[in-house]
Amino acid sequence: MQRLGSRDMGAEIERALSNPNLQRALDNAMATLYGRRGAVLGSIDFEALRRRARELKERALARNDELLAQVVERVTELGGTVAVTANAAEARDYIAALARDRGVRRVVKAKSMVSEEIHLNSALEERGIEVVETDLGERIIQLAGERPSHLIVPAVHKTKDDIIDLLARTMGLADPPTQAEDLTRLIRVDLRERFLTADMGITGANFVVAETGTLVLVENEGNIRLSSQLPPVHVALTGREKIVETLADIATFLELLPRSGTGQLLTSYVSLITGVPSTEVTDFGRATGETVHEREFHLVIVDNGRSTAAADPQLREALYCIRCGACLNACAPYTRVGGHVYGSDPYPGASGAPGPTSPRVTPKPARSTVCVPPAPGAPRSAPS
Amino acid sequence: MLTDLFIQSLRACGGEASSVGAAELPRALAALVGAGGLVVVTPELESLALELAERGVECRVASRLGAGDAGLEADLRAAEVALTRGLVGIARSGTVAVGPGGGNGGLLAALAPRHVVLLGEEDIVDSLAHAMQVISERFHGLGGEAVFITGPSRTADIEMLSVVGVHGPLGLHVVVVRREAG
Amino acid sequence: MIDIPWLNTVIKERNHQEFGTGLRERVFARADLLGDVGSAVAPVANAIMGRRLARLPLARLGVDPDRRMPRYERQTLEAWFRERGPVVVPEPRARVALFVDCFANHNLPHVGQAAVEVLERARVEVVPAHNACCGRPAMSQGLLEKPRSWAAANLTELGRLVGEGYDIVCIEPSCLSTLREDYRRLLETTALEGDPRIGVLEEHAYDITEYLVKLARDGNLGLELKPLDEAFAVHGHCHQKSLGLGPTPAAVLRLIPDADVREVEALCCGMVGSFGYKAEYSALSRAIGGPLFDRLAQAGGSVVACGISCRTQIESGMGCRVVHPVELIHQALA
Repeated sequence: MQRLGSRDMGAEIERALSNPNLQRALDNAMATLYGRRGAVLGSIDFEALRRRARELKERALARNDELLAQVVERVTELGGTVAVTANAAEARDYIAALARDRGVRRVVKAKSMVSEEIHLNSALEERGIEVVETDLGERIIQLAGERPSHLIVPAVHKTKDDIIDLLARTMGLADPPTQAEDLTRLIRVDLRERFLTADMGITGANFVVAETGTLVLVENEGNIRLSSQLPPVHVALTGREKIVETLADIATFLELLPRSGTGQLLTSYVSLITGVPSTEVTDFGRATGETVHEREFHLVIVDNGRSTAAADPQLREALYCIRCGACLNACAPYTRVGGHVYGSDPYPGASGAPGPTSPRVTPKPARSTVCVPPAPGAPRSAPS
Repeated sequence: MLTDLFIQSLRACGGEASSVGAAELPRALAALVGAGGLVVVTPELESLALELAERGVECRVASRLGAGDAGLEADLRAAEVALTRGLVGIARSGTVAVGPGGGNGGLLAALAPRHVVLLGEEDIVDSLAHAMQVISERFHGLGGEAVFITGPSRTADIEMLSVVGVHGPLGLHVVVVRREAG
Repeated sequence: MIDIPWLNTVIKERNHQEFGTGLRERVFARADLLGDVGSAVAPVANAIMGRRLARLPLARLGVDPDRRMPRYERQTLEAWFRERGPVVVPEPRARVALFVDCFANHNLPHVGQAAVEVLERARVEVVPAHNACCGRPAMSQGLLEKPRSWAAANLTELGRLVGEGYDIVCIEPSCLSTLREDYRRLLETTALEGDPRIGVLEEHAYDITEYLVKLARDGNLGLELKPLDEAFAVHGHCHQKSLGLGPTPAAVLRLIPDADVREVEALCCGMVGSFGYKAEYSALSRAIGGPLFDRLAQAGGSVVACGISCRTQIESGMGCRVVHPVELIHQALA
């Protein structure tokens, strides 16, 4: 356990400050993210949007038990299975047991901060299952044997040269490509085959809609679409604070999250997954009235301290977060040393990880530095 | 005019867009996707597939079945172009929504290197909220996926450099279909 | 939106409850006491603390001995107010109660005096508020008990003043931010939760630069200012930005005829209260300041900043003098 303000943290900070690659990577990424966000906020009444999103989250959290029951009911009706788990171990065990029962050998996984929180990958790997991260940044981190250092850009601490070296080493390339396009293509080809042969896909969820039982997944790469739709079993893993009331609410969150996270009006893909798709069986073009489920769907909802946080008038604040990561890009200490210094377990940030941005209730010695709101929009006013 | 704004917005985020009259569609499509390798078409566009085939486009109607279907896997590996129908378009962001409903439209569209979407001009709305309403009505009591698609697959995970085509299509083309008078 | 600073504070408080509180945190929490002692023995304290050798023992507390402490002034702002006695402004355009913050009181009384004289020249009546510490230094350490009682006392005193028609004006942006942005949360779990005076205070407390801009906008400033014939490089305080007051320091300077005001964009100076003094963070604090120093140097001109943290950080980082905008307005009084 790390004491607040310990010497170790000083040493880690010194290391981060004297790592030229880290400094170069952060300089570039933070300025880009901060700038892109600023560029798209002018086109809308951003403050009103944030207030509205906050209200929606507050309302949903106040009814969380009721909405959770609604999600269970809706998803079950639509052919899915819902597991409400109390802690990390329960969630891990559920997924591991499911994988064992289905004879899963290979899992393709989209980015999920909750999976980092519950240390899912190591639990599956211990059982001999291959877990393949498919988000480009997460894949880079996985190959490097590291943890993500930013909510939105997991490999933000690496330069392109770091990545070239990493891929050359781990993929056994004598003459690795040097352009970002070619490096990306390399990963695309490598992962495509793994997608097509995976027995299970694991994703997170940005929002879960109680009214319809719909999962909302926000991404740019397309790996979430493939992880959720391609393998015969889809497991979505999420925290119970992600439940919102209606599909109409989602419009507000979708106006906010991409703008704030990456400076986009909308990300390339937003998947709305409602239960298990069923297909009507046809016989030479004529409907038979029979339907079959195209695959198996399990929604694993994690509590892991969230209910206790929700009951605490002070800590409740953390549960309104939509994880856009904008607070990190505006955080002066973070922009100089990155997320690893703060002990990314897994929600990083000078803003006090693992305390404030993680919904844990037990006070842990937060490796936080300072937090004053340095600019409009962050972090006091970081979008919910 | 919503169609113009839609086309402009889509181009701004790296997608391609064009607008054709309904009668012109088969010819325009054949020009767009012909000679580009195997075109896999969702079942709801079966009759269009026949017309394309008549024009010499190598064309196949996707299987209706899901994971584990042998026909599907063959389609998925071979498809160069996925041709699907869009449900609703959002003018302001250049977004097109596909699905929900059964079939492998969404999956095909995620895997093929190029995705071509047909979108009725009358299905373009102004805002995300409006589009969500349309989707919401479609979802009523129905399971399945809808995907809002805004431009091609992309990433900025390497030094924030914008790269198009990570796991999803490298190219997205939305053909806005005008309903002709009479 | 998420109140991350407040969450941070709460987490720190719970850490103290769980693991105890270090001496360093207890000391940094008491800017008020440090100020009282510092001013009382100012010549000696400044002479001693001005030597690195004398600061070396601080390293055992976890304080960077290479950091110089702000100097303490023998005559506090409070004492200055007392000595000069009440000043009557005939037919005042407005009435201001100056929030006497720990730093303006003990370290920068001349900034407070400049503010008072500028306001009085603009025919604004000024009285000192008999306030307690706003609570920010202790809150930053995650120590909330004292700030809660100070907040209660301040609500009474400042609430009374507002009731009598005074606007509350702060010199230190961090204190203003505490009054306007934190008292509501700070008092949430106390008998004063939701007290209507919190809202009254939020509405009637101003930053000195904000207040001067407001007077000018309402046509109530009526100051005759002479040109100063120098350029100003302005650094914005984080708490001003979070209050939506990013542009006001520059706006005030633009009241000076022909003023050449250069606003410098940067995230933060890096000092952030006690952060830059803490041994494990001092290198990070300097690294954060680096880009700001470069940009200020590039902009050229006199460096202008509002908070004591920014002021100390920039002065030690750039080796130049830093002034508050109100000092310059004072200088420009015809």
